[in-house]
Amino acid sequence: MRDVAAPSDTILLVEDTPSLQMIYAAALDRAGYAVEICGTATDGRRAFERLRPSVVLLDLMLPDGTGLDVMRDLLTQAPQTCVIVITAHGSINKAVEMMRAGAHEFLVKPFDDQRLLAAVENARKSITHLPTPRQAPNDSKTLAPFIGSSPNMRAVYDTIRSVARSMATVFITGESGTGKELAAEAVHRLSARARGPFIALNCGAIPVDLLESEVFGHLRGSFTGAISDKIGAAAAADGGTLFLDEICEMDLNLQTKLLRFLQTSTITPVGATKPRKVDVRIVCATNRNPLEEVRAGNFREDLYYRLHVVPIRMPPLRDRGDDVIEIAERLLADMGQEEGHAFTGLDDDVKGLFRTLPWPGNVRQLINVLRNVVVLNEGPIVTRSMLPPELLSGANNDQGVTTSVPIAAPQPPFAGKTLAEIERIAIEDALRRHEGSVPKAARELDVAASTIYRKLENWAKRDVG
Amino acid sequence: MVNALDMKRLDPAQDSAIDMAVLDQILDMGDARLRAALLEQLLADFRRLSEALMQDGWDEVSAAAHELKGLAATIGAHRLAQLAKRLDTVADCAIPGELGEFRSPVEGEMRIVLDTLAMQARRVQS
Repeated sequence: MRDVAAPSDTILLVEDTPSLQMIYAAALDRAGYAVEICGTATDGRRAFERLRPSVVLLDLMLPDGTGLDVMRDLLTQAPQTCVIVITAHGSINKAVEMMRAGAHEFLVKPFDDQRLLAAVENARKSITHLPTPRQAPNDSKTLAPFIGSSPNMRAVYDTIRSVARSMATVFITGESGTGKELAAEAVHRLSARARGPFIALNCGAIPVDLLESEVFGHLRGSFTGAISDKIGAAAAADGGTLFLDEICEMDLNLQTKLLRFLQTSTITPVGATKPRKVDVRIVCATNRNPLEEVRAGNFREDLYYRLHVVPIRMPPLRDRGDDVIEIAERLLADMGQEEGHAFTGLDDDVKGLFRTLPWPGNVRQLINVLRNVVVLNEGPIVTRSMLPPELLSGANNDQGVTTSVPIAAPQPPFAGKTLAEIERIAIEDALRRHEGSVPKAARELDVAASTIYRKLENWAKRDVG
Repeated sequence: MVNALDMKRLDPAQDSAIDMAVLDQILDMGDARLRAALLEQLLADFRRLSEALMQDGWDEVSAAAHELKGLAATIGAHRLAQLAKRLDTVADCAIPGELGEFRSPVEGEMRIVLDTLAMQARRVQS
Protein backbone atom coordinates (compact mmCIF):
# COMPACT_ATOMS: atom_id res chain seq x y z
CA MET A 1 0.00 0.00 0.00
CA ARG A 2 1.37 3.35 -0.96
CA ASP A 3 1.24 6.50 1.13
CA VAL A 4 -1.84 8.43 0.19
CA ALA A 5 -1.49 12.16 -0.17
CA ALA A 6 -4.49 14.40 0.44
CA PRO A 7 -6.44 14.91 -2.77
CA SER A 8 -5.68 18.22 -4.46
CA ASP A 9 -8.14 20.66 -6.04
CA THR A 10 -6.19 20.75 -9.30
CA ILE A 11 -8.00 18.99 -12.13
CA LEU A 12 -5.85 16.62 -14.14
CA LEU A 13 -6.66 16.68 -17.86
CA VAL A 14 -5.24 13.79 -19.90
CA GLU A 15 -5.98 14.52 -23.58
CA ASP A 16 -3.64 14.08 -26.53
CA THR A 17 -5.02 16.62 -29.02
CA PRO A 18 -3.33 19.98 -28.26
CA SER A 19 -6.28 22.10 -29.52
CA LEU A 20 -8.70 20.18 -27.31
CA GLN A 21 -6.33 20.56 -24.37
CA MET A 22 -6.46 24.33 -24.89
CA ILE A 23 -10.26 24.41 -25.29
CA TYR A 24 -11.04 22.33 -22.20
CA ALA A 25 -8.38 24.10 -20.12
CA ALA A 26 -9.75 27.51 -21.14
CA ALA A 27 -13.26 26.54 -20.06
CA LEU A 28 -12.03 25.20 -16.72
CA ASP A 29 -9.71 28.15 -16.17
CA ARG A 30 -12.56 30.59 -16.82
CA ALA A 31 -14.62 28.79 -14.17
CA GLY A 32 -11.78 29.19 -11.66
CA TYR A 33 -10.27 25.70 -11.70
CA ALA A 34 -6.54 25.01 -11.71
CA VAL A 35 -5.70 22.51 -14.45
CA GLU A 36 -2.69 20.27 -15.08
CA ILE A 37 -2.49 19.08 -18.68
CA CYS A 38 -0.92 15.86 -19.96
CA GLY A 39 -0.92 14.46 -23.48
CA THR A 40 0.05 10.83 -22.85
CA ALA A 41 -0.84 7.97 -20.55
CA THR A 42 2.68 7.96 -19.10
CA ASP A 43 2.63 11.67 -18.28
CA GLY A 44 -0.88 11.33 -16.89
CA ARG A 45 0.17 8.59 -14.47
CA ARG A 46 3.19 10.63 -13.33
CA ALA A 47 1.14 13.78 -12.82
CA PHE A 48 -1.44 11.80 -10.87
CA GLU A 49 1.17 10.45 -8.44
CA ARG A 50 2.55 13.94 -7.94
CA LEU A 51 -0.74 15.84 -7.59
CA ARG A 52 -3.28 13.28 -6.33
CA PRO A 53 -6.15 15.20 -7.97
CA SER A 54 -9.67 14.38 -6.85
CA VAL A 55 -11.03 14.84 -10.39
CA VAL A 56 -9.42 13.53 -13.59
CA LEU A 57 -10.63 14.22 -17.12
CA LEU A 58 -9.35 11.31 -19.17
CA ASP A 59 -9.44 10.77 -22.91
CA LEU A 60 -10.27 7.21 -23.92
CA MET A 61 -7.67 6.95 -26.69
CA LEU A 62 -4.14 8.01 -25.90
CA PRO A 63 -1.05 7.57 -28.07
CA ASP A 64 0.73 5.26 -25.62
CA GLY A 65 -2.14 3.39 -24.01
CA THR A 66 -5.84 3.23 -23.35
CA GLY A 67 -7.80 5.37 -20.94
CA LEU A 68 -9.14 2.17 -19.37
CA ASP A 69 -5.66 1.00 -18.30
CA VAL A 70 -4.81 4.45 -16.98
CA MET A 71 -8.05 4.66 -15.02
CA ARG A 72 -7.54 1.24 -13.44
CA ASP A 73 -4.10 2.33 -12.24
CA LEU A 74 -5.41 5.59 -10.82
CA LEU A 75 -8.33 3.95 -9.02
CA THR A 76 -6.04 1.28 -7.56
CA GLN A 77 -3.92 4.02 -6.05
CA ALA A 78 -6.79 6.26 -4.97
CA PRO A 79 -10.26 4.64 -5.25
CA GLN A 80 -12.02 7.86 -4.24
CA THR A 81 -10.84 9.65 -7.41
CA CYS A 82 -13.58 10.77 -9.78
CA VAL A 83 -12.57 9.93 -13.34
CA ILE A 84 -14.57 11.62 -16.08
CA VAL A 85 -14.03 9.83 -19.38
CA ILE A 86 -13.87 11.82 -22.61
CA THR A 87 -14.75 9.92 -25.73
CA ALA A 88 -15.51 10.52 -29.38
CA HIS A 89 -18.92 9.64 -30.77
CA GLY A 90 -18.92 6.00 -31.73
CA SER A 91 -16.90 4.80 -28.75
CA ILE A 92 -19.93 4.48 -26.49
CA ASN A 93 -19.39 0.79 -25.86
CA LYS A 94 -15.90 1.51 -24.62
CA ALA A 95 -17.24 4.32 -22.44
CA VAL A 96 -19.77 1.90 -20.96
CA GLU A 97 -16.90 -0.47 -20.19
CA MET A 98 -15.15 2.43 -18.44
CA MET A 99 -18.22 3.17 -16.34
CA ARG A 100 -18.41 -0.45 -15.29
CA ALA A 101 -14.74 -0.28 -14.32
CA GLY A 102 -15.41 2.65 -11.99
CA ALA A 103 -15.53 5.87 -14.05
CA HIS A 104 -17.66 8.60 -12.55
CA GLU A 105 -19.18 9.90 -15.79
CA PHE A 106 -18.48 10.12 -19.49
CA LEU A 107 -18.59 13.01 -21.92
CA VAL A 108 -19.12 12.38 -25.61
CA LYS A 109 -17.35 14.77 -28.01
CA PRO A 110 -18.48 17.31 -28.97
CA PHE A 111 -19.64 18.80 -25.70
CA ASP A 112 -19.88 22.45 -24.72
CA ASP A 113 -18.24 24.17 -21.79
CA GLN A 114 -21.49 24.02 -19.76
CA ARG A 115 -21.59 20.24 -20.01
CA LEU A 116 -17.90 20.00 -19.11
CA LEU A 117 -18.31 22.23 -16.06
CA ALA A 118 -21.47 20.42 -14.93
CA ALA A 119 -19.60 17.09 -15.02
CA VAL A 120 -16.69 18.52 -13.03
CA GLU A 121 -19.02 20.16 -10.49
CA ASN A 122 -20.98 16.91 -10.04
CA ALA A 123 -17.76 15.02 -9.48
CA ARG A 124 -16.54 17.51 -6.90
CA LYS A 125 -19.90 17.49 -5.12
CA SER A 126 -19.84 13.71 -4.90
CA ILE A 127 -16.42 13.85 -3.25
CA THR A 128 -17.52 16.48 -0.76
CA HIS A 129 -20.56 14.46 0.26
CA LEU A 130 -19.10 10.99 0.06
CA PRO A 131 -20.62 9.07 2.95
CA THR A 132 -17.96 8.15 5.52
CA PRO A 133 -16.93 5.90 6.97
CA ARG A 134 -17.55 3.32 4.29
CA GLN A 135 -19.32 0.18 5.38
CA ALA A 136 -17.09 -2.31 7.11
CA PRO A 137 -16.30 -5.42 5.04
CA ASN A 138 -18.07 -7.73 7.53
CA ASP A 139 -21.34 -5.89 6.77
CA SER A 140 -21.16 -6.87 3.14
CA LYS A 141 -23.35 -9.98 3.47
CA THR A 142 -26.49 -7.92 3.86
CA LEU A 143 -27.81 -4.55 2.81
CA ALA A 144 -30.78 -3.08 4.66
CA PRO A 145 -33.70 -3.13 4.07
CA PHE A 146 -33.14 -6.29 2.00
CA ILE A 147 -33.46 -9.57 3.86
CA GLY A 148 -31.34 -12.51 2.82
CA SER A 149 -27.72 -13.35 2.20
CA SER A 150 -27.83 -15.87 -0.64
CA PRO A 151 -24.89 -15.66 -3.07
CA ASN A 152 -27.19 -14.11 -5.72
CA MET A 153 -28.26 -11.34 -3.37
CA ARG A 154 -24.76 -10.74 -2.08
CA ALA A 155 -23.68 -10.08 -5.65
CA VAL A 156 -26.54 -7.55 -5.91
CA TYR A 157 -25.46 -5.83 -2.66
CA ASP A 158 -21.87 -5.59 -3.91
CA THR A 159 -22.95 -4.03 -7.20
CA ILE A 160 -25.19 -1.53 -5.41
CA ARG A 161 -22.37 -0.51 -3.08
CA SER A 162 -19.89 -0.16 -5.97
CA VAL A 163 -22.14 1.84 -8.22
CA ALA A 164 -23.66 4.10 -5.57
CA ARG A 165 -20.77 6.56 -5.41
CA SER A 166 -20.55 7.15 -9.15
CA MET A 167 -22.94 9.07 -11.39
CA ALA A 168 -23.41 6.00 -13.59
CA THR A 169 -26.92 5.22 -14.72
CA VAL A 170 -28.24 2.01 -13.20
CA PHE A 171 -30.55 -0.33 -15.11
CA ILE A 172 -32.39 -2.76 -12.84
CA THR A 173 -34.12 -5.77 -14.34
CA GLY A 174 -36.06 -8.55 -12.68
CA GLU A 175 -39.46 -10.14 -12.39
CA SER A 176 -42.27 -8.33 -10.61
CA GLY A 177 -41.93 -8.45 -6.85
CA THR A 178 -38.16 -8.96 -6.75
CA GLY A 179 -37.40 -5.61 -5.11
CA LYS A 180 -36.36 -3.37 -8.01
CA GLU A 181 -37.52 -0.19 -6.30
CA LEU A 182 -35.79 -1.21 -3.05
CA ALA A 183 -32.57 -1.60 -5.04
CA ALA A 184 -33.04 1.84 -6.59
CA GLU A 185 -33.59 3.38 -3.16
CA ALA A 186 -30.48 1.63 -1.85
CA VAL A 187 -28.40 3.06 -4.71
CA HIS A 188 -29.70 6.52 -3.79
CA ARG A 189 -29.24 6.07 -0.05
CA LEU A 190 -25.61 4.98 -0.37
CA SER A 191 -24.74 7.70 -2.89
CA ALA A 192 -23.43 11.19 -2.36
CA ARG A 193 -26.95 12.34 -3.26
CA ALA A 194 -28.54 10.69 -0.23
CA ARG A 195 -29.54 14.07 1.19
CA GLY A 196 -31.23 14.99 -2.09
CA PRO A 197 -34.68 13.81 -3.18
CA PHE A 198 -35.49 10.31 -4.44
CA ILE A 199 -38.32 10.60 -6.95
CA ALA A 200 -39.94 7.45 -8.30
CA LEU A 201 -42.12 7.48 -11.39
CA ASN A 202 -43.94 4.47 -12.81
CA CYS A 203 -43.89 5.01 -16.58
CA GLY A 204 -46.45 2.23 -17.05
CA ALA A 205 -49.03 3.70 -14.69
CA ILE A 206 -49.35 7.10 -16.34
CA PRO A 207 -51.31 7.68 -19.56
CA VAL A 208 -49.00 8.34 -22.51
CA ASP A 209 -50.28 11.87 -23.12
CA LEU A 210 -49.56 12.91 -19.52
CA LEU A 211 -46.20 11.24 -19.14
CA GLU A 212 -44.14 14.03 -20.72
CA SER A 213 -45.66 16.53 -18.31
CA GLU A 214 -45.07 14.15 -15.39
CA VAL A 215 -41.39 13.79 -16.28
CA PHE A 216 -40.51 17.28 -17.49
CA GLY A 217 -43.30 19.43 -16.02
CA HIS A 218 -45.48 21.98 -17.79
CA LEU A 219 -46.35 25.65 -17.78
CA ARG A 220 -49.81 26.93 -17.04
CA GLY A 221 -51.97 27.02 -20.19
CA SER A 222 -49.61 24.86 -22.22
CA PHE A 223 -52.46 22.40 -22.87
CA THR A 224 -56.09 21.93 -21.92
CA GLY A 225 -56.26 21.22 -18.22
CA ALA A 226 -52.87 22.78 -17.39
CA ILE A 227 -54.37 25.21 -14.88
CA SER A 228 -51.10 25.94 -13.10
CA ASP A 229 -47.36 25.41 -13.54
CA LYS A 230 -46.29 21.90 -12.63
CA ILE A 231 -42.81 20.85 -11.71
CA GLY A 232 -41.96 17.52 -13.32
CA ALA A 233 -40.25 14.54 -11.75
CA ALA A 234 -36.89 15.41 -13.37
CA ALA A 235 -36.86 18.88 -11.79
CA ALA A 236 -38.19 17.53 -8.49
CA ALA A 237 -35.25 15.12 -8.42
CA ASP A 238 -32.68 17.94 -8.92
CA GLY A 239 -29.69 17.13 -6.71
CA GLY A 240 -31.00 13.60 -6.14
CA THR A 241 -32.09 10.50 -8.00
CA LEU A 242 -34.90 9.96 -10.50
CA PHE A 243 -36.19 6.39 -10.56
CA LEU A 244 -38.04 5.51 -13.76
CA ASP A 245 -39.87 2.25 -13.19
CA GLU A 246 -41.30 0.23 -16.09
CA ILE A 247 -39.07 2.23 -18.45
CA CYS A 248 -39.89 -0.06 -21.40
CA GLU A 249 -43.50 1.17 -21.22
CA MET A 250 -42.36 4.69 -22.15
CA ASP A 251 -43.68 6.09 -25.40
CA LEU A 252 -41.07 6.25 -28.21
CA ASN A 253 -41.46 10.03 -28.62
CA LEU A 254 -40.80 10.55 -24.96
CA GLN A 255 -37.83 8.21 -25.15
CA THR A 256 -36.28 10.68 -27.61
CA LYS A 257 -36.80 13.49 -25.10
CA LEU A 258 -35.39 11.40 -22.28
CA LEU A 259 -32.30 10.70 -24.39
CA ARG A 260 -31.83 14.43 -25.01
CA PHE A 261 -32.23 15.05 -21.28
CA LEU A 262 -29.53 12.47 -20.53
CA GLN A 263 -27.19 13.99 -23.09
CA THR A 264 -27.64 17.64 -22.11
CA SER A 265 -28.75 17.47 -18.45
CA THR A 266 -31.40 20.04 -19.34
CA ILE A 267 -35.18 19.84 -19.28
CA THR A 268 -37.75 21.88 -21.15
CA PRO A 269 -41.18 21.75 -19.49
CA VAL A 270 -44.16 21.43 -21.84
CA GLY A 271 -44.97 24.94 -23.07
CA ALA A 272 -41.59 26.41 -22.08
CA THR A 273 -39.09 27.76 -24.57
CA LYS A 274 -35.95 27.86 -22.45
CA PRO A 275 -34.27 24.70 -21.22
CA ARG A 276 -33.31 24.43 -17.57
CA LYS A 277 -30.24 22.67 -16.22
CA VAL A 278 -30.82 19.95 -13.64
CA ASP A 279 -28.45 17.66 -11.80
CA VAL A 280 -30.12 14.26 -11.65
CA ARG A 281 -28.91 10.70 -11.45
CA ILE A 282 -31.10 8.23 -13.34
CA VAL A 283 -31.94 4.77 -12.11
CA CYS A 284 -34.44 2.81 -14.20
CA ALA A 285 -36.09 -0.57 -14.03
CA THR A 286 -38.16 -2.99 -16.04
CA ASN A 287 -39.59 -6.47 -15.62
CA ARG A 288 -39.15 -7.08 -19.35
CA ASN A 289 -36.05 -8.06 -21.28
CA PRO A 290 -34.88 -4.64 -22.50
CA LEU A 291 -32.82 -6.04 -25.37
CA GLU A 292 -35.85 -7.89 -26.70
CA GLU A 293 -37.78 -4.61 -26.48
CA VAL A 294 -35.02 -2.97 -28.54
CA ARG A 295 -35.21 -5.75 -31.13
CA ALA A 296 -39.00 -5.46 -31.24
CA GLY A 297 -38.68 -1.72 -31.92
CA ASN A 298 -40.37 -0.73 -28.66
CA PHE A 299 -37.28 0.73 -27.06
CA ARG A 300 -34.67 3.01 -28.67
CA GLU A 301 -31.32 1.33 -29.04
CA ASP A 302 -29.33 4.51 -28.33
CA LEU A 303 -31.35 5.12 -25.17
CA TYR A 304 -30.79 1.51 -24.14
CA TYR A 305 -27.02 1.89 -24.38
CA ARG A 306 -27.16 5.25 -22.62
CA LEU A 307 -29.15 3.79 -19.71
CA HIS A 308 -27.71 0.30 -19.57
CA VAL A 309 -24.41 1.37 -18.01
CA VAL A 310 -24.48 -0.66 -14.83
CA PRO A 311 -27.06 -3.44 -14.99
CA ILE A 312 -28.41 -5.00 -11.82
CA ARG A 313 -30.47 -8.18 -12.21
CA MET A 314 -32.69 -8.88 -9.23
CA PRO A 315 -32.87 -12.66 -8.81
CA PRO A 316 -36.30 -14.29 -8.52
CA LEU A 317 -37.18 -15.65 -5.09
CA ARG A 318 -36.96 -19.27 -6.32
CA ASP A 319 -33.24 -18.69 -7.07
CA ARG A 320 -32.44 -17.28 -3.63
CA GLY A 321 -32.09 -20.52 -1.69
CA ASP A 322 -32.86 -20.15 2.02
CA ASP A 323 -33.61 -16.42 1.69
CA VAL A 324 -37.27 -17.38 1.35
CA ILE A 325 -37.25 -18.83 4.89
CA GLU A 326 -35.38 -15.86 6.34
CA ILE A 327 -37.75 -13.39 4.69
CA ALA A 328 -40.83 -15.37 5.72
CA GLU A 329 -39.79 -15.60 9.37
CA ARG A 330 -38.90 -11.91 9.57
CA LEU A 331 -42.19 -10.90 7.94
CA LEU A 332 -44.15 -13.29 10.14
CA ALA A 333 -42.80 -11.66 13.28
CA ASP A 334 -43.68 -8.16 11.99
CA MET A 335 -47.13 -9.11 10.72
CA GLY A 336 -47.92 -11.13 13.83
CA GLN A 337 -47.19 -8.09 15.95
CA GLU A 338 -49.40 -5.89 13.74
CA GLU A 339 -52.30 -8.39 13.86
CA GLY A 340 -51.87 -9.35 17.53
CA HIS A 341 -51.15 -13.01 16.67
CA ALA A 342 -47.92 -14.44 18.07
CA PHE A 343 -46.23 -16.24 15.17
CA THR A 344 -42.73 -17.52 15.80
CA GLY A 345 -41.83 -19.44 12.64
CA LEU A 346 -42.53 -22.11 10.01
CA ASP A 347 -42.58 -25.83 10.62
CA ASP A 348 -40.13 -28.01 8.70
CA ASP A 349 -42.77 -29.20 6.22
CA VAL A 350 -43.64 -25.60 5.26
CA LYS A 351 -39.96 -24.68 5.07
CA GLY A 352 -39.42 -27.54 2.63
CA LEU A 353 -42.44 -26.50 0.59
CA PHE A 354 -41.38 -22.84 0.47
CA ARG A 355 -37.93 -23.82 -0.79
CA THR A 356 -39.45 -25.68 -3.76
CA LEU A 357 -42.34 -23.40 -4.76
CA PRO A 358 -41.78 -21.40 -7.98
CA TRP A 359 -43.05 -18.12 -6.44
CA PRO A 360 -44.05 -16.47 -9.75
CA GLY A 361 -45.02 -13.33 -7.83
CA ASN A 362 -41.75 -13.40 -5.84
CA VAL A 363 -41.53 -11.57 -2.49
CA ARG A 364 -44.80 -9.77 -3.17
CA GLN A 365 -46.56 -13.16 -3.44
CA LEU A 366 -44.83 -14.39 -0.28
CA ILE A 367 -46.05 -11.29 1.61
CA ASN A 368 -49.64 -11.93 0.47
CA VAL A 369 -49.48 -15.58 1.49
CA LEU A 370 -48.12 -14.72 4.94
CA ARG A 371 -50.63 -11.92 5.45
CA ASN A 372 -53.39 -14.42 4.68
CA VAL A 373 -51.92 -16.90 7.18
CA VAL A 374 -51.44 -14.35 9.95
CA VAL A 375 -54.90 -12.82 9.60
CA LEU A 376 -56.76 -16.15 9.54
CA ASN A 377 -54.73 -18.09 12.13
CA GLU A 378 -53.53 -17.65 15.69
CA GLY A 379 -50.04 -19.16 15.49
CA PRO A 380 -47.50 -19.77 16.81
CA ILE A 381 -45.99 -22.02 14.05
CA VAL A 382 -47.12 -21.94 10.42
CA THR A 383 -48.22 -25.39 9.25
CA ARG A 384 -49.26 -26.64 5.80
CA SER A 385 -52.95 -26.57 6.81
CA MET A 386 -52.76 -22.79 7.35
CA LEU A 387 -51.57 -22.05 3.80
CA PRO A 388 -54.00 -20.78 1.15
CA PRO A 389 -55.35 -23.76 -0.88
CA GLU A 390 -54.41 -22.19 -4.24
CA LEU A 391 -50.76 -22.12 -3.15
CA LEU A 392 -50.90 -25.82 -2.34
CA SER A 393 -52.77 -26.74 -5.52
CA GLY A 394 -50.07 -24.91 -7.48
CA ALA A 395 -47.45 -26.90 -5.63
CA ASN A 396 -49.26 -30.22 -6.14
CA ASN A 397 -49.80 -29.62 -9.84
CA ASP A 398 -46.10 -29.07 -10.25
CA GLN A 399 -45.03 -31.82 -7.90
CA GLY A 400 -43.67 -28.89 -5.92
CA VAL A 401 -40.73 -28.46 -8.24
CA THR A 402 -40.82 -26.08 -11.13
CA THR A 403 -43.13 -23.44 -12.54
CA SER A 404 -46.81 -22.74 -12.98
CA VAL A 405 -49.37 -20.20 -12.00
CA PRO A 406 -52.09 -21.54 -9.69
CA ILE A 407 -55.06 -20.85 -11.93
CA ALA A 408 -57.67 -23.55 -12.20
CA ALA A 409 -59.14 -22.48 -15.56
CA PRO A 410 -58.19 -24.59 -18.58
CA GLN A 411 -55.41 -23.05 -20.66
CA PRO A 412 -56.36 -21.96 -24.20
CA PRO A 413 -54.54 -23.75 -27.01
CA PHE A 414 -51.41 -21.79 -27.95
CA ALA A 415 -49.87 -24.03 -30.59
CA GLY A 416 -49.13 -22.18 -33.79
CA LYS A 417 -49.83 -18.75 -32.28
CA THR A 418 -47.43 -15.82 -32.11
CA LEU A 419 -46.36 -14.43 -28.75
CA ALA A 420 -48.47 -11.31 -29.34
CA GLU A 421 -51.51 -13.48 -30.08
CA ILE A 422 -50.93 -15.57 -26.96
CA GLU A 423 -50.63 -12.40 -24.91
CA ARG A 424 -53.97 -11.19 -26.25
CA ILE A 425 -55.63 -14.54 -25.56
CA ALA A 426 -54.28 -14.56 -22.00
CA ILE A 427 -55.46 -11.01 -21.31
CA GLU A 428 -58.91 -11.52 -22.84
CA ASP A 429 -59.25 -14.79 -20.96
CA ALA A 430 -58.40 -13.10 -17.66
CA LEU A 431 -60.83 -10.27 -18.40
CA ARG A 432 -63.61 -12.76 -19.16
CA ARG A 433 -63.04 -14.62 -15.91
CA HIS A 434 -63.09 -11.34 -13.97
CA GLU A 435 -66.23 -10.11 -15.77
CA GLY A 436 -64.34 -7.35 -17.56
CA SER A 437 -62.59 -5.94 -14.49
CA VAL A 438 -59.24 -4.61 -15.75
CA PRO A 439 -57.74 -4.08 -12.26
CA LYS A 440 -58.61 -7.66 -11.24
CA ALA A 441 -57.23 -9.09 -14.49
CA ALA A 442 -54.11 -6.97 -14.11
CA ARG A 443 -53.60 -8.26 -10.57
CA GLU A 444 -53.91 -11.83 -11.73
CA LEU A 445 -51.53 -11.33 -14.65
CA ASP A 446 -49.17 -9.30 -12.46
CA VAL A 447 -49.00 -6.31 -14.80
CA ALA A 448 -50.02 -2.68 -14.39
CA ALA A 449 -53.67 -1.96 -15.19
CA SER A 450 -52.51 0.77 -17.57
CA THR A 451 -50.68 -1.88 -19.61
CA ILE A 452 -53.97 -3.69 -20.20
CA TYR A 453 -55.83 -0.46 -20.99
CA ARG A 454 -53.17 0.47 -23.54
CA LYS A 455 -53.24 -2.93 -25.16
CA LEU A 456 -57.05 -2.88 -25.37
CA GLU A 457 -56.83 0.55 -26.99
CA ASN A 458 -54.28 -0.67 -29.54
CA TRP A 459 -56.26 -3.80 -30.37
CA ALA A 460 -59.44 -1.77 -30.79
CA LYS A 461 -57.65 0.60 -33.18
CA ARG A 462 -56.12 -2.30 -35.10
CA ASP A 463 -59.45 -4.15 -35.28
CA VAL A 464 -61.22 -1.05 -36.59
CA GLY A 465 -58.41 -0.29 -39.07
CA MET B 1 -21.66 -1.34 -42.34
CA VAL B 2 -20.46 1.84 -44.01
CA ASN B 3 -21.92 2.40 -47.43
CA ALA B 4 -19.89 4.50 -49.85
CA LEU B 5 -23.08 5.61 -51.54
CA ASP B 6 -24.18 7.28 -48.32
CA MET B 7 -21.43 9.83 -48.78
CA LYS B 8 -23.06 11.15 -51.91
CA ARG B 9 -25.92 12.29 -49.74
CA LEU B 10 -23.59 14.75 -48.04
CA ASP B 11 -23.96 17.83 -50.15
CA PRO B 12 -20.72 19.86 -49.91
CA ALA B 13 -22.53 23.03 -50.87
CA GLN B 14 -25.33 22.56 -48.39
CA ASP B 15 -23.82 24.52 -45.52
CA SER B 16 -20.54 26.05 -44.45
CA ALA B 17 -17.53 23.93 -43.54
CA ILE B 18 -17.51 25.24 -39.97
CA ASP B 19 -20.52 26.26 -37.91
CA MET B 20 -19.25 29.68 -36.93
CA ALA B 21 -21.57 29.92 -33.93
CA VAL B 22 -19.78 26.91 -32.43
CA LEU B 23 -16.30 28.15 -33.29
CA ASP B 24 -17.05 31.67 -32.00
CA GLN B 25 -18.28 30.26 -28.71
CA ILE B 26 -14.95 28.47 -28.30
CA LEU B 27 -12.85 31.43 -29.37
CA ASP B 28 -14.75 33.75 -27.03
CA MET B 29 -13.62 31.78 -23.98
CA GLY B 30 -10.41 33.77 -23.70
CA ASP B 31 -8.76 37.06 -24.63
CA ALA B 32 -7.34 38.02 -28.04
CA ARG B 33 -4.06 36.27 -27.29
CA LEU B 34 -5.76 33.00 -26.46
CA ARG B 35 -7.95 33.33 -29.57
CA ALA B 36 -4.91 33.72 -31.79
CA ALA B 37 -3.06 30.89 -30.05
CA LEU B 38 -6.03 28.58 -30.32
CA LEU B 39 -6.51 29.25 -34.04
CA GLU B 40 -2.82 28.65 -34.61
CA GLN B 41 -3.02 25.36 -32.72
CA LEU B 42 -6.14 24.28 -34.59
CA LEU B 43 -4.36 24.91 -37.90
CA ALA B 44 -1.35 22.92 -36.70
CA ASP B 45 -3.51 20.01 -35.52
CA PHE B 46 -5.58 19.82 -38.69
CA ARG B 47 -2.39 19.93 -40.82
CA ARG B 48 -0.82 17.18 -38.70
CA LEU B 49 -3.92 15.02 -39.03
CA SER B 50 -4.11 15.70 -42.75
CA GLU B 51 -0.60 14.27 -43.14
CA ALA B 52 -1.35 11.33 -40.84
CA LEU B 53 -4.35 10.38 -42.93
CA MET B 54 -2.16 9.99 -46.00
CA GLN B 55 -0.09 7.20 -44.44
CA ASP B 56 -0.34 3.61 -45.63
CA GLY B 57 -0.79 1.85 -42.28
CA TRP B 58 -4.34 1.04 -41.22
CA ASP B 59 -3.59 1.77 -37.58
CA GLU B 60 -2.18 5.22 -38.28
CA VAL B 61 -5.12 6.17 -40.50
CA SER B 62 -7.62 4.81 -37.97
CA ALA B 63 -6.01 6.72 -35.10
CA ALA B 64 -5.88 9.95 -37.13
CA ALA B 65 -9.48 9.59 -38.29
CA HIS B 66 -10.62 8.93 -34.72
CA GLU B 67 -8.82 12.02 -33.44
CA LEU B 68 -10.08 14.10 -36.35
CA LYS B 69 -13.72 13.12 -35.76
CA GLY B 70 -13.63 14.42 -32.17
CA LEU B 71 -11.72 17.59 -32.99
CA ALA B 72 -13.81 18.47 -36.06
CA ALA B 73 -17.08 17.93 -34.17
CA THR B 74 -15.84 20.10 -31.29
CA ILE B 75 -15.19 23.15 -33.48
CA GLY B 76 -18.42 22.74 -35.47
CA ALA B 77 -16.88 21.22 -38.63
CA HIS B 78 -19.78 18.79 -38.78
CA ARG B 79 -19.34 17.59 -42.36
CA LEU B 80 -15.66 16.83 -41.80
CA ALA B 81 -16.53 15.07 -38.53
CA GLN B 82 -19.05 12.90 -40.37
CA LEU B 83 -16.58 12.02 -43.12
CA ALA B 84 -13.87 11.27 -40.54
CA LYS B 85 -16.28 9.03 -38.68
CA ARG B 86 -16.88 7.00 -41.82
CA LEU B 87 -13.17 6.82 -42.56
CA ASP B 88 -12.56 5.75 -38.96
CA THR B 89 -15.05 2.90 -39.34
CA VAL B 90 -13.57 1.76 -42.65
CA ALA B 91 -9.98 1.96 -41.38
CA ASP B 92 -10.96 0.26 -38.14
CA CYS B 93 -12.60 -2.60 -40.01
CA ALA B 94 -9.66 -2.69 -42.46
CA ILE B 95 -11.91 -3.02 -45.49
CA PRO B 96 -9.54 -3.59 -48.42
CA GLY B 97 -9.90 -1.26 -51.36
CA GLU B 98 -12.34 1.10 -49.69
CA LEU B 99 -9.85 3.25 -47.83
CA GLY B 100 -9.01 5.49 -50.80
CA GLU B 101 -12.66 5.96 -51.62
CA PHE B 102 -13.34 7.24 -48.13
CA ARG B 103 -10.08 9.13 -47.71
CA SER B 104 -10.37 11.50 -50.66
CA PRO B 105 -13.60 13.22 -49.50
CA VAL B 106 -11.92 13.80 -46.13
CA GLU B 107 -8.93 15.37 -47.86
CA GLY B 108 -11.19 17.69 -49.85
CA GLU B 109 -13.21 18.75 -46.84
CA MET B 110 -10.06 19.12 -44.77
CA ARG B 111 -8.72 21.69 -47.28
CA ILE B 112 -11.90 23.75 -46.95
CA VAL B 113 -11.76 23.63 -43.15
CA LEU B 114 -8.07 24.61 -43.18
CA ASP B 115 -8.83 27.55 -45.50
CA THR B 116 -11.67 28.67 -43.24
CA LEU B 117 -9.47 28.48 -40.14
CA ALA B 118 -6.63 30.28 -41.89
CA MET B 119 -9.01 33.07 -42.85
CA GLN B 120 -10.18 33.34 -39.25
CA ALA B 121 -6.57 33.44 -38.05
CA ARG B 122 -5.75 36.26 -40.46
CA ARG B 123 -8.80 38.20 -39.26
CA VAL B 124 -7.80 37.84 -35.63
CA GLN B 125 -4.22 38.90 -36.37
CA SER B 126 -5.31 42.00 -38.26
